[in-house]
Amino acid sequence: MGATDFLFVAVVAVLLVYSSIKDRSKTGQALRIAAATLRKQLPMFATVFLLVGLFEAFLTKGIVQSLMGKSVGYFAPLIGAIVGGAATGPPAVAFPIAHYLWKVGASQAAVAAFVVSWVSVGTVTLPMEIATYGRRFAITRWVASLIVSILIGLIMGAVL
Amino acid sequence: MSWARNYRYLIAVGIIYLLVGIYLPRKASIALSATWHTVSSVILIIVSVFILIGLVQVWIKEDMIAEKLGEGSGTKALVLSALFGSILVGPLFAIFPLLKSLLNRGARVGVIVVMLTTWAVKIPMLPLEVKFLGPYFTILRVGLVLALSIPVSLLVEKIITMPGPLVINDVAEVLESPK
Repeated sequence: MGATDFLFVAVVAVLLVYSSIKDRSKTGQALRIAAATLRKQLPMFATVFLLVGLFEAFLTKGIVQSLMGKSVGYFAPLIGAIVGGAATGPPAVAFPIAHYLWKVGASQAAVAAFVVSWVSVGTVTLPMEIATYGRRFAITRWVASLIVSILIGLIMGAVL
Repeated sequence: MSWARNYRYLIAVGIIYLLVGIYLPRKASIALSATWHTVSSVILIIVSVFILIGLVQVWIKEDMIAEKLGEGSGTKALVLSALFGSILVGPLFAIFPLLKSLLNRGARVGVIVVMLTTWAVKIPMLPLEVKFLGPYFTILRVGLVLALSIPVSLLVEKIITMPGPLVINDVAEVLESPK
């Protein structure tokens, strides 16, 4: 376990202790929420980790590199953003998948666009968003999120 | 059969592993050890992340956010909503009812868009991102999301509140409709 991991775990532990001193029942409720959420997402985590393990055993740079590699240029973050935006699943799962994409040859720009798009675009929830806020709001926000994802990908590709 | 529904992907992957194990046992053991390597290095982080999410949900209540942002219209409201958007975690649709009630209370559209944009930050999950993608990547991504959220939201707000033929089912109409 690295130093940053340890620091984070320690911070959460301190917050947990502080919270239980301030309000015991609220803290119990927080732990129950944590356990329930974790249990709900565990199958997803297990699936993704096992799948990424499988991908790593059959590591093929070909497809990912030709779609999201550095040589593809501006299209790489575009494809990253589209794939990320179409995906569903807990955001925490996006990170191991992004790591895998990067390992098999996706550019930094594509990986960044993928992550940002996964956590912000929300194509699957779009109908729900339209029902809540109306078509104009939802579609404008959706388009803006997609553009921002690509933009962030491009900037990060240039900086990193 | 909700049990089978929840586990269908896991079962599918299990079957793939079984087949790979039978025909290419070496590949299967590489895959399993790669999986184990990932799981063992992140399991503690994942548990901590979920505890943090639980704490945030218990201590930062919806009515508190609604109170702080309900009538806000200035820069302060935008910054505050960026803060809330960054700290809170969960599926995007989970905050739709909250945001709608904010709109009803007279919050400006920009506040809503900022919160939806900064929803991508997910502070409790950052350790996981650092673990997989490195600290530079994480810092840069979060910095960019935050830096872009307010200008982009102001732009989106302009587009949404602009009169024109685009109005099919615009915000005002949604607000008038019963909940």
